[in-house]
Amino acid sequence: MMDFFVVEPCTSSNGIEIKLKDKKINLKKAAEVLPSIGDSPVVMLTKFEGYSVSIYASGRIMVKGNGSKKIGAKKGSSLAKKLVLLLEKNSVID
Amino acid sequence: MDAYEEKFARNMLNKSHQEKIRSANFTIVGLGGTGGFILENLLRMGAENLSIFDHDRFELSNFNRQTLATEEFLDMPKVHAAIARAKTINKNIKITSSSHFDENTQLNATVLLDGTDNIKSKLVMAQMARKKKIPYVFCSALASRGMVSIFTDYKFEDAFQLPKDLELHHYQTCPSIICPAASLAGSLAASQAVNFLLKKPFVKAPDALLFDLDKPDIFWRAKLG
Repeated sequence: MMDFFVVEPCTSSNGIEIKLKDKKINLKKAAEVLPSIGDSPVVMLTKFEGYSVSIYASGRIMVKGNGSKKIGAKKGSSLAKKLVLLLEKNSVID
Repeated sequence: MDAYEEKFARNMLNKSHQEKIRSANFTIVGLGGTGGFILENLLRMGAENLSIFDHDRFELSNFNRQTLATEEFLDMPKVHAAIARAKTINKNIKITSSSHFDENTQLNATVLLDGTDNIKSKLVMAQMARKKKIPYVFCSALASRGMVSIFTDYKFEDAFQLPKDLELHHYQTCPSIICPAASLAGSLAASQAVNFLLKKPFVKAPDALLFDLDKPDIFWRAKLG
């Protein structure tokens, strides 16, 4: 599995950020794997396991928590692994 | 009259003051909510020599308050977006940029301006500025509120009563800010920097200028520390 980092962008934000190491994301291919609920040439909005996800072409993925419930480090890490694996398996990551 | 003179003639400054703004190095750390407006104001005042720092890229959640967050610049490094924006206002701009800023960064600043959103970066900037004997223009915004002050010799640590064994990450925030607050704080910071440069009155720490857009009396002054 490729290298990626999971970071909590800030203490008061309810979400996690996944950064792929030196990799880009092909949004066209991503839209074939995940349901696109909005896109532009640089970002695709989607849902993954009930969470709102923004996937950026530069290799950054933001996952937002549901309501006031924090995602937390453990859940964030497992979501990140699943998401990156899914994208990798479907050759979405260049 | 050349293009520069014509562009900035309505600043109502004499030639020597305009030249001071043109040649001074304004260093801006952070190009988000407040930092973007600091940059925009300085460009409109005729600043032509800038150094900018930011490690981030523009994302959708920046759009409510960050003037450089546009569809065109989405997912672009903030420093690249800032350079592109600056060149649309003044193609002769001399601008250096980096995604990295810390206590070892070489500063060539006449004035150091704070567009950051966390206490750790603010503290590093304040300490570097004090060491180099240059002014540190503190600027902060949160929700509908904001604060501006220029630190020359007064210690930032004393102003905010930071403990010596500060666990900095406890103070880190990701503020929710409305655009008018970010814009006002950034504009005040830029204007204070120019006032300092031109030896006009400015708010000197430990004094600070505060505002809350949700209060009937929007502005007030307070003593920090």
